[in-house]
Amino acid sequence: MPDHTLLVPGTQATSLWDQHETVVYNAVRVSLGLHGDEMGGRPPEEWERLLSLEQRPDSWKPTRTSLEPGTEVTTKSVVGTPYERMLSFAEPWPYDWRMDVRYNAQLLLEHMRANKPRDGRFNLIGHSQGGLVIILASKLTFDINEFSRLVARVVLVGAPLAGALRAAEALLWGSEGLGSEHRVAARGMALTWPALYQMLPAWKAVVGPDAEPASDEQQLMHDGGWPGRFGQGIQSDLLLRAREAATLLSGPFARMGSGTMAMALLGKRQLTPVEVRREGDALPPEQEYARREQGDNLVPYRATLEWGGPPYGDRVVKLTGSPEAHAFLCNDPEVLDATRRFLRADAPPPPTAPPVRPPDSSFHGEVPSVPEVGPPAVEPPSVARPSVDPPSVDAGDVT
Amino acid sequence: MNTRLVLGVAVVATTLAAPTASEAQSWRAQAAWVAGQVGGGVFGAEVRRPLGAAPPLPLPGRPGGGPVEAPTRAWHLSGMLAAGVNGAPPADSDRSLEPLVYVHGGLLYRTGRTVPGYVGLLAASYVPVGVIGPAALLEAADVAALQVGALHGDGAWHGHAALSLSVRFLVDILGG
Repeated sequence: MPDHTLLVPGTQATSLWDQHETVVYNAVRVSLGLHGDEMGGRPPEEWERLLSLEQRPDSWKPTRTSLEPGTEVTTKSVVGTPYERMLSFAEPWPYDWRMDVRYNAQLLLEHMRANKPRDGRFNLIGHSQGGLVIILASKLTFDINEFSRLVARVVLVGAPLAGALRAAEALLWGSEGLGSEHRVAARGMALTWPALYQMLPAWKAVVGPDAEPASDEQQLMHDGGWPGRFGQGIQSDLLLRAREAATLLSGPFARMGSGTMAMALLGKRQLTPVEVRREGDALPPEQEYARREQGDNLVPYRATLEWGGPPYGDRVVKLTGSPEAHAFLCNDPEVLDATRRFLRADAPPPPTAPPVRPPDSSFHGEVPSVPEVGPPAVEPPSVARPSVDPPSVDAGDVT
Repeated sequence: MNTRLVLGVAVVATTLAAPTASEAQSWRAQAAWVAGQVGGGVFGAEVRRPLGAAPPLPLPGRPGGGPVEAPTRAWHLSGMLAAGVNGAPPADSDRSLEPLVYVHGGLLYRTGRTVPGYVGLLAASYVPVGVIGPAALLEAADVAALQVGALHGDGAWHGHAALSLSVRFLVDILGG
């Protein structure tokens, strides 16, 4: 059996369903405003609790997938529009994009372990948050060679290693995606989504009135980055998860092993927000960015490259000219062409050593009882990055 | 009339599509109208390939040197093969539906990042109705394409208009 290609889609691309097989969130319908004044049959006043998660600090898996009594939100399908031409050669892997990225990474690993092609391996294409899921999957294996034995090729498309200021937008001002009149509800549900925190900027995105970077404590991954009313509802536990994930996302290919080839595609022709101004204890009351740089309109090119480190940079394809914007990158002809050619290239052979499995490989979403991985605070890219990939996280410490 | 020519275009388009059909096709539903000949709908696959040298890839063994650049290639070949049914042509009004094959081959130009989409010129044909000719195509965001042209058959030119939609987009907006 040849290698099998999985597409791990981006934030919102997996439709969310309730236990009655009713779609409660479909990104294409939402972006076109077709959800009207109901979502899965619920009126607007019920949307926030319908799509909010409940977390326990010691578990990556949420304790509740909806705060609506009796409702469980699940995943089943991926919208096709942003992946129109990729779905002809890649099987979509749905996941709940609200949850801790590490939880989804573990689910992806479990899926690959259970479904590995008999005479082949997986190819993984990760778009946006889907790329982060793949990176973290490579860093959460017990056996350093396991990822290489499962995966032949990895293609990351617009993966926000260093986060995106647009992720903060939903927490600061509330996304207008559900309609401008529903921004409060949109912010309320977003405040409960670990994945959104885990895509907060890892660079110094908050600047003072003099345009100089604010202190570390005033950056968005720390409680001090959310002054006054902006801090209402911000969860310290989820900010901690953001710092933990950011540490793991630096040096993204460091744990993929010599048997896996990897490539990252990044847009570099669209203005992308990178800074927000803070004056005293005030952030802008409405969406307002202090500075933009080249990127794909969501993922900034320079900050991502710096966070990835030099070995990552040597595996990057920068899309100049007129690439599609972030949401539609997977429909871009250059992305499609590069991806197809990369998937056709000969992959290095997988490691031959027999797999070493932990005594119990089943995963229940519990946070491993080990010390926090890496430094507790995120090192901003303005500080000189290491000249080589940072020491990879020893997966033995985390699984 | 034009049967050999129509079949020839079908062969060319199918050949163009074959190497990539299993890799990156887009499924399309098209509602078409050809004045005096046919009004109907087809469902099929469109494939697209950029023209020009492909940029290098950062494959294993590549020495350092940082990111490689992939500029956008503007021109693309497009081929589509689709099948469906058409309504009764005037000359055959006692028949309600007929099988219909649609085929096109042509050249598209990316309009850029301000207005993402394509414009293009196609050679389009409907079989067995037997009309063939040029059509201009305007596509928005890889989702919807409007095509207008003039197709020749039965010794005369006929106006032609068609609207194509991505099937996946249709499924998405229906709530799947």
